[in-house]
Amino acid sequence: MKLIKLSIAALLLAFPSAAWAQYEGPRVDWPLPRMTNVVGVTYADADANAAFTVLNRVEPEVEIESNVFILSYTRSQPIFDRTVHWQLQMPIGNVDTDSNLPIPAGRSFRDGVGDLTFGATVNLIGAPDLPVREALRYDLDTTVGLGISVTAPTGTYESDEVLNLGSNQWSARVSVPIIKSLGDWVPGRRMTLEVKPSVRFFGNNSNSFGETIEQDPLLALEAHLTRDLTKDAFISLDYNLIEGGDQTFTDSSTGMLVEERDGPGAQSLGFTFGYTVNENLSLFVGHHQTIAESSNPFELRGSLTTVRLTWSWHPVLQRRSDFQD
Amino acid sequence: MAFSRKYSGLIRIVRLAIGSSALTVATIASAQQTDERPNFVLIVADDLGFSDLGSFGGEINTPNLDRLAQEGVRYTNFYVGASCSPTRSMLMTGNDNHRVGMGNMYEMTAPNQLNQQGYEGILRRDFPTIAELLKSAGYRTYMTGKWHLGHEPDYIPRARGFDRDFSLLNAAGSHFTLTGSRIENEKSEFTRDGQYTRKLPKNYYSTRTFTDEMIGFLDADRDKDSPFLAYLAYQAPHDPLQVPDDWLRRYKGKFDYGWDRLRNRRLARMKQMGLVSEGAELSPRLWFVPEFDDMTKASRVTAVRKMEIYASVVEYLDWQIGRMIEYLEQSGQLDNTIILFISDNGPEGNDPIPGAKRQPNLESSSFFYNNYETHFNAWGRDYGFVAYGAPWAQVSATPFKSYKGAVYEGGIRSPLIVWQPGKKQAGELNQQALLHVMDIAPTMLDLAGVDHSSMQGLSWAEMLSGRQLSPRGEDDIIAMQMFGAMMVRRGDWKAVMMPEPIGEGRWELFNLARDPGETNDLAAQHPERLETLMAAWDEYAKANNVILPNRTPYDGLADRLPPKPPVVSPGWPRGQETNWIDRSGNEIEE
Repeated sequence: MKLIKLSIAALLLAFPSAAWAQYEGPRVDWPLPRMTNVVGVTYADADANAAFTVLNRVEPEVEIESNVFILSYTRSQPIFDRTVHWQLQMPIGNVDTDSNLPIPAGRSFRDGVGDLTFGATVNLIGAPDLPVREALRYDLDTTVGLGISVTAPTGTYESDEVLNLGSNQWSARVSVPIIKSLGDWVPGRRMTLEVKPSVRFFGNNSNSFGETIEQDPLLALEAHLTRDLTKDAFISLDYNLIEGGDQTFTDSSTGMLVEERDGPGAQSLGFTFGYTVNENLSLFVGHHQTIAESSNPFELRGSLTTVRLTWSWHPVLQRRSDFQD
Repeated sequence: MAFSRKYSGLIRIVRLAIGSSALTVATIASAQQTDERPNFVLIVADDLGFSDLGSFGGEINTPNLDRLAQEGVRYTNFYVGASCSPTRSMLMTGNDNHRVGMGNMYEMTAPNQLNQQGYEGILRRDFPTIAELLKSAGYRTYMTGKWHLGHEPDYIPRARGFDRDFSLLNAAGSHFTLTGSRIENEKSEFTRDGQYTRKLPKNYYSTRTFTDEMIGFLDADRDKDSPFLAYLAYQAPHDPLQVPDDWLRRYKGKFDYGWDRLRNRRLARMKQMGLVSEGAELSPRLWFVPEFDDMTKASRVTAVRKMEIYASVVEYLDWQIGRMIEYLEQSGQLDNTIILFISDNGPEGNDPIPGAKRQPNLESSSFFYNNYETHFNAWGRDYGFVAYGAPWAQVSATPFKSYKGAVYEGGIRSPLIVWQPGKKQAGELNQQALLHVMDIAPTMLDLAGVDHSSMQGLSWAEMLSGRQLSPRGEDDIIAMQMFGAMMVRRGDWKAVMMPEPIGEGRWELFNLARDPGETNDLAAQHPERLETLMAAWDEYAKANNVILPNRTPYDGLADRLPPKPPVVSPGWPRGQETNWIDRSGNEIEE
């Protein structure tokens, strides 16, 4: 039943594993068949004025190189007859800077694990629970979902370091992924416009160089225009906007205001190329660059290159495939 | 070729001038006619099954044809050829296909039939068409749709009597583009008013465009006094099954209970409607078709999509026929028009794609993957190729056995609806009349007052006026041969010899009144009756120059199909009622 394999593989092709703080990538919210499992590893190489995994401390004029692997596990498990994607992810890697510009004291290299994120995205409109038989005949037209994720301060963190992989703050994110199919839902011909507004709420980082960092909600808008190149490959033009997230630094012991900073507002443009290697394995390569630099010294600036591999399987289809082999 | 094209018009005029006696008589007869002679609208569907229409027991939404049936008469014993162009040749000429050049399909001519008279693969010019005869009698003649009776200038619709035409000359092709349907015809050929063309009208979709064109022809000549023949030969629902996108998912989930239950359901409805006898049983599911419930859920989904698309294609066809009727009604022409609706043969159970996939190295296979997409999600779209295959063809042929190509009833029994002005005999169901497609031409000629004595078909004029139940008496037969398969029917009895593996490879005998599904072979119980029928077939063969082919599509077929089980599967609920399950697994109330 090659037909079934192809259909599922095509759906799985785009499943997420990467999740930069505010950026997830194209085709990550396409509805998956019930009981689909996806394990992913993303290598992210970022050159920016902030560590890849932490957005609460943007450092003007500092170039930080992040080399991070993000491990993720996703499962499609429905609730109330709606498609729900459950996801767990954890970054692991290092951040480094060779900058000789004056930065707060500390080491210029850190490694360890980042904060653990757990989340779920439930589809509200357009994609009911999809057992395999329904997933096969599912034609995506328009879907609207609601995503909620919580990031716990479990990552490696030292309060007297500028470079950290953990953020030392709780955060929660609410997103509304919207997908509109612009063409026939046929592998090789699919075209989608994907928009995902989101807002992330931050708890305080109670200890950063003896200061407490309060951060306003960070608004983000992620947009992708994706198009199949072949049945097994697609390209996406990506746009990302972040706004808000202004920070207030106060002395942790006295409560005195130390500093107020504008948030890391930025826009970035980029592309993603995805390729289905086989019915289980998919590869994604992307590059993104911030644009439209403003006078805000704390604006996020830099570039991000990602290479992602995902391994996906569905118990029923896998058994069938094994049997046929 | 160039000479032939250049002088084709002249040749045609000369031939018409010195033509057959029938033509001469027709011309004389026309002088005596008045303008009150009826118009004829002859509508032919391509590969539609016997029970697909609502008025024949189907669940597909066909309100316009059902209305025709409600206001007209349905005939349940109407026979057509087992495949396309043989039927069309008989429809056009009123004579047996073995006489008129279509003893076999052009594409399937056997070595021993090559260069034999009657097996030319085109419609011979010495047999006048209904269009030529009616034209000579003063009729206007129009055709849109599939022709498939010859490509050369002397054999295209314009050369065979149609004043105006927009015709597909090939057997099939894309319903949206010029892409052909097989390697033999990579690009479809059309003619418009006798001129070859490969320019398709804007927004071409065969079913819609053929209707538009016919309405256009009729409307352009609306003020003319003379009656007309409108031959509307739709290409639907021939494969590739294609339909405009907004119709693609119209039947999503409607057939989730599968082919077995769908056949049961149709049979139950047919019994309820009086289309078959209470004791009628379904023909057994073909041995190579799995029991639907035995398939995995995922496989069922892909399987039912084929039927979903087929149903959409059929409903779209019905909608366009409705447009045609509406035009006639609004233009005031319906009151003097007789409408006939038929299919050209049984439903198509052969699907070329699995075979092509098994042999991707062949040019004939590469044709498909170079010209069409066969992915499940592409099915039904303007670039997709799908045929619905044997399982669903058996549904379309309910309750009959087999499908197109075979001379079991599933291949040769067609729905027939006749609508007459004044809604004569409205709503009647005629199960007594034994009718043949070659009766249609003489019937039209008879009703137009034109001589039809050169035709083998029998006029239905008396039957349509209500003075007779059937044009055939107890001793009259209907007989056929196609691809080496033979059948002959007299009254309720039918003798049939279907080659293996589809058939038994020997003569069988059935009583169709009691056993329309041809499930109980009575050859052993009634050997004399079988002998008599076989003798009748021999006479038919001799009279019509039947040359049994020495090569047929059945050769080697047994090697490509799984072996037949020794007994009918006990899991097959032949004719019995079962619960119907919807998408959620709930039972469906009848």
